Amino acid sequence: MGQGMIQGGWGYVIAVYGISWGVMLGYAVMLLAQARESALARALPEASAASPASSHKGRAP
Amino acid sequence: MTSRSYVAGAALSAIGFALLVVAHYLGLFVAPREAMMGDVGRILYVHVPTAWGALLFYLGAFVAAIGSLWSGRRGWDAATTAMVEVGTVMTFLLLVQGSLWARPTWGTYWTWDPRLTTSAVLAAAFGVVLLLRRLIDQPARRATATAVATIVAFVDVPIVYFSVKWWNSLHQPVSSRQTIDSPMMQPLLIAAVAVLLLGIGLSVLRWRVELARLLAEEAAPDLPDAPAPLDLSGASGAPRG
Amino acid sequence: MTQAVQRRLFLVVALLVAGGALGVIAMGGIGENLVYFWTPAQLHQNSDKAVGATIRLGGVVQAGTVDWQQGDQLLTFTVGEQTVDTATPVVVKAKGAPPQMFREGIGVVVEGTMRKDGVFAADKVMVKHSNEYRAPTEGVDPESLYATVEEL
Repeated sequence: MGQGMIQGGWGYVIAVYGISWGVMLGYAVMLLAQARESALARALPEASAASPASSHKGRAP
Repeated sequence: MTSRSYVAGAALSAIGFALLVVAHYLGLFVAPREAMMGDVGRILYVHVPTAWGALLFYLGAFVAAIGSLWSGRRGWDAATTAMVEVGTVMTFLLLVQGSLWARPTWGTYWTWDPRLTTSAVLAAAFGVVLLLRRLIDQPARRATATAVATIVAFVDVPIVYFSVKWWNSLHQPVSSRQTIDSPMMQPLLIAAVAVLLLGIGLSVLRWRVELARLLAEEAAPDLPDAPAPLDLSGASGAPRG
Repeated sequence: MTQAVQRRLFLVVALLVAGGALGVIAMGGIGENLVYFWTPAQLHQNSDKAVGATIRLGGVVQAGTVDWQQGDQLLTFTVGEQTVDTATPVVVKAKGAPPQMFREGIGVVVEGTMRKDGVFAADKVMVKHSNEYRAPTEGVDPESLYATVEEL
């Protein structure tokens, strides 16, 4: 029986911080690589993304 | 060639990570240990901002889904997808973090408490949205399905938030300034801003990736449902096949 | 029907479905199905259903009732509605050491079943943490800490 307070437990803290940082950094690196690739490959015109004429329904006049 | 959205997304993510380093340094080494939980209480600075972030980016996805259905523009479709994915990454982390925090404090990795149950439903529901998106080839139908599924899945967001008020739970109620001592509040708030900026940065990058995919798909000639040629204002030359 | 009209129809239907579902749940439509634990009073009201079934009981560990037999690894304590509850306390017996935060006056949720003799046989003892995060005070009187976790 303890004293009603948690002693130690740094292992859990390290695991939580480690997993969280690992996943977020990994996800960020993956997205950066994909975004860079799409930028290099297509020279994507920025304006087209927001342009009203770019409806994916393709019903432009 | 880099683009504005690439630079903005990368910069916001970098600022978010940098702020998170500051917040976590303060949380791990400067803030006092919690009176009952001791050092385990430091998980607060990761778990709570992740929870706020997850719910917030799902709210963003919900708004983008409305925009997508209203306007039919692919920009909104890509934004919906981006924020659903960022929210789901955070929700997945949330469940792992919570489980690792629950073991030393509550005495169990998992229990079917209302907050935990509704959070698991959240991850599953938005996981289905992302899966659904991969299963539909036709762009307009896919955009509609994504948006409708996002709006339906979003119902669980307020339920997760209010679960600790509506039902008996093991999970503690919502914390506030009154229930968190000020030396702990500072790293928590910095971490919350950091996760917000990081999430926005990642969403912008993900939005960009999705948009590029949608444009490439429309440019591909062998699609069964190729749309009419688009007026890509500012586009020079034909898109690559 | 043009695609735009169809899409906006989908939008309206999706929002109505979402709003309706949330409304039903918020008004308690599935409340009965989401009972995570019974309080001691609810346990007494449902005593016919409690014996033999796997249930959870939530409450506060009553002061002066904790008995830990190190040799047998047997833990006995009483769970009540508040810190001092003379009306509806339930005696709980559990095997094994409880979580470190377990103490008198803390909120707990125990999982197990009600025995015929009115003792709750717990397979699992879980400790509830309040939403309070406090810096420890120097030379603190442990009794004063109990006050922060009384409300369940």
